[in-house]
Amino acid sequence: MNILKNLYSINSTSDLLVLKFGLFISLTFAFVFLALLLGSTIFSLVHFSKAKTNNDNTIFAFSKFVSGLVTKMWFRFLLGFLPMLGSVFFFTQLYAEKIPSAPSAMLIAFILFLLGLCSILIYKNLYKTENVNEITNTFLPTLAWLGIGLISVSSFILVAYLQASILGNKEGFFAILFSPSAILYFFLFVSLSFGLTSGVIIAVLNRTNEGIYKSYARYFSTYSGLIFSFLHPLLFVLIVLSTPVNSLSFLYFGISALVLLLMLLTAIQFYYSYKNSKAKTTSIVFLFVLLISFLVYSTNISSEVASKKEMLQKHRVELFS
Amino acid sequence: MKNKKIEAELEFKELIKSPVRLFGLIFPYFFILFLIVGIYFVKHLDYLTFNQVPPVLTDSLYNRTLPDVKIKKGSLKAAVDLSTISNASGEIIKKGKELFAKNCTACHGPTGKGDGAAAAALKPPPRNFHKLQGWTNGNHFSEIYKTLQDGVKGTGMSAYDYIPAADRIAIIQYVRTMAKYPPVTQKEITELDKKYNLSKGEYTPSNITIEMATKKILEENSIPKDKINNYLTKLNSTQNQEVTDLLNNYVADKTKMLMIFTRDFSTEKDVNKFINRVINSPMESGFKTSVTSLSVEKLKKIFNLLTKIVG
Repeated sequence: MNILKNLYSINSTSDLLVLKFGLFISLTFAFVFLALLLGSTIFSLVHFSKAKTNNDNTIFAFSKFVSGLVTKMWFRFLLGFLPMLGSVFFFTQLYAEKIPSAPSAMLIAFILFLLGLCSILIYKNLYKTENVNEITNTFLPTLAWLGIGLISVSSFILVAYLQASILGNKEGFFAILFSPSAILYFFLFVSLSFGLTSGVIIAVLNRTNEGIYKSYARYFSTYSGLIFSFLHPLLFVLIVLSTPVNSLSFLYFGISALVLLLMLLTAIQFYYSYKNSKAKTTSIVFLFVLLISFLVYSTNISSEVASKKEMLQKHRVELFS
Repeated sequence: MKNKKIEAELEFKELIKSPVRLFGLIFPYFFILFLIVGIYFVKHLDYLTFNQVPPVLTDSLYNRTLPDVKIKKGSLKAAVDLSTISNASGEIIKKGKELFAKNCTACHGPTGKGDGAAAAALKPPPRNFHKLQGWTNGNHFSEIYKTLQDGVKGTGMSAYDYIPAADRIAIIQYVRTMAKYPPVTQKEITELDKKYNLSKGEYTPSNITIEMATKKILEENSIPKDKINNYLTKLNSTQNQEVTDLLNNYVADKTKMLMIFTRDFSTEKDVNKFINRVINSPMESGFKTSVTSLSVEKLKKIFNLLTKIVG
C-alpha cells in the first residue's frame, strides 16, 4: 500500500491544491456514474421481474431501455473507470497519513467497482430478445443483483471514507464504515441515484420518438423523481445537522443553501415534466450533476476545515496543559 | 350532541397513490428545511467564526514530516586578518598543521593522502591533498573555504563551520603546502570577505528544535493547575450573583479565561487593556464572541470580579 501512498510527493500548498482539485473532479464524475449505474440497473431489474410476472412486453422494453443507459464504452471509460481510478489515487495521496486504512479501503472499493461493473455488463446479454416469454435464464438477473451489491459496497466505502476525512476517524475499516454519518450519506447517495436515473430517463425520452413504453416511462420517471425529490432534502438536512462543529464554515452553509435550492429546482422540473409531456427537461440531468458536484465540494470543504482545526489544536502552544 | 367525525382535508392514502399532489407541499416543506438549517447556522456562529482562524500550515501536510530546525551551537566569529590569506607565514602554517592533526587526520591521514584510519569505511574515499584533480567544489582557496564551511553533500565531509574562521584559514594554508595549488588573487579575497564577513566577524545564535523551544515556552509560561482550580472554586462560590450570572452567560471556557487573566492581568490590573483584549480576541481570552456586545460598564464589573478572585 506504500506505493499508493507515495505516488505523488506533496511538497507545497500548490501540490495540495492540485490534488484537492483532482479529487473534487474525479469524485464528482465517479459519483454521477455510480449513481446512474446503480439506479438504472435497479430500475431495470425491478421492471424485468414485473414484466416477467405480468408477461408484459411493454414493461420489458422499458426495462431494456433503462438497462442500456450506461452501456456505451466511452461513457463507461470516461465517466466510470477513469474517475474511480482518479478518486482512489487522489484520496490516498491526500488522506493516507490521516486515515491509515485509506489505501487498502480505496483499492477494495476499486476492485469491487470493477467486479460489479463486469457483472452488470454480462447481465445486459439478457436483452437479446424482444419477448419476455422467451427468457428462462435466471442466472443473469441474479448476477445483476450481485453486481448491484458490489457497486453499493464500493460506493459505500467511498462515501464512508469521505466522511471519515471530515471526522478525522483514525479507527479501523469497520468502525469507519459503520459510522452514522457514513450510513446517512449513503442513503442520500442511493436516493440521488434514483432521482438522477429518473431525470436521465426523461432527458433521453425527449431525444427519441421510438418506444412503445414512452408514456409508461414518462409516468414512472416523473413519479419516482417526485418521490425522491422529497427524500433528498430531508436526508441532506439530517447530514448538515450531524456534521461535526469542528468542520463547519460559512462556505459550508452557503453551499448547503445552494444544494437545497438545486433540490427544489429538480423537484420543480419533475413536476413541470409531469404536467407537460412535451416539455424538454434535459436540464434535470445538468441540475443533478451540479447538485452532486456541490455535495462533493461541501464534503471537501468540511474535511479541509476539520483538518485545519485539528492541526491548529495540535500545533497550538498548549500554555495551560 | 352527536360526535361529528372530522374529515381530513388531505387523504394521505390518495397522496401515496398520486404523489404529484405532494408537489403542493413542496414550498412549505423546503421552507421548513431552510429554516432548520438557518437556525442551526445561527446557533453555531461562534464555531463558524473560530473555524475561520487560519493555521500556519495547511491541511494534511501537518502529518507529514516537516523539516525541523537543527540543533546548532552558536558562535562568535572573530574578525580575520585578510593578509593571512595572501601571505601564509610559517607561524600560520604551523598552527594549521596542529589543527589538521587534530581535526582532519582521522579521514585524510597524517600526510593528507586520504589514507586515515576511517578512510576505508568512507564512500567516496577522502580527498588526497597531494593531487589537484577531481575536487568537488574546486581547489582554489575560496572553494576549499566553502567546503570547510558547508561540507560536501553525499560524502563523509561534514561542515566545520564551528571552527573559527582564522583557524580554518590556517588549515587551508597548511593543506596548500602539500601540492602546487593555484595562487590566491586579490579579487578572490575580496569576494570571500564579502560572502563570509571575514574582516568584520559575525555572531551566529544557537538553534534548538521547535519541540525543545515549545517545551521551553511551556515551562516559562505555565501556571500551576491547582492554582486555577482554586480560582474556579472561588468563582463558583462567589456571592455576587449578578456579575456571576453575567459572566456565566458570556464565558466560553472558564479555565482558559482564568489562566489568561492570571497571566496577563493579575499583576498589571489594567482594566482598559482587559476590555481591549476581550473585545478584540474574545475566543482567545476564553469568552464567547457575543461578549463584544456588552457595555464597558458590564465589562468593568467582570474585570473587578476576576481581580477579586485572582487577587
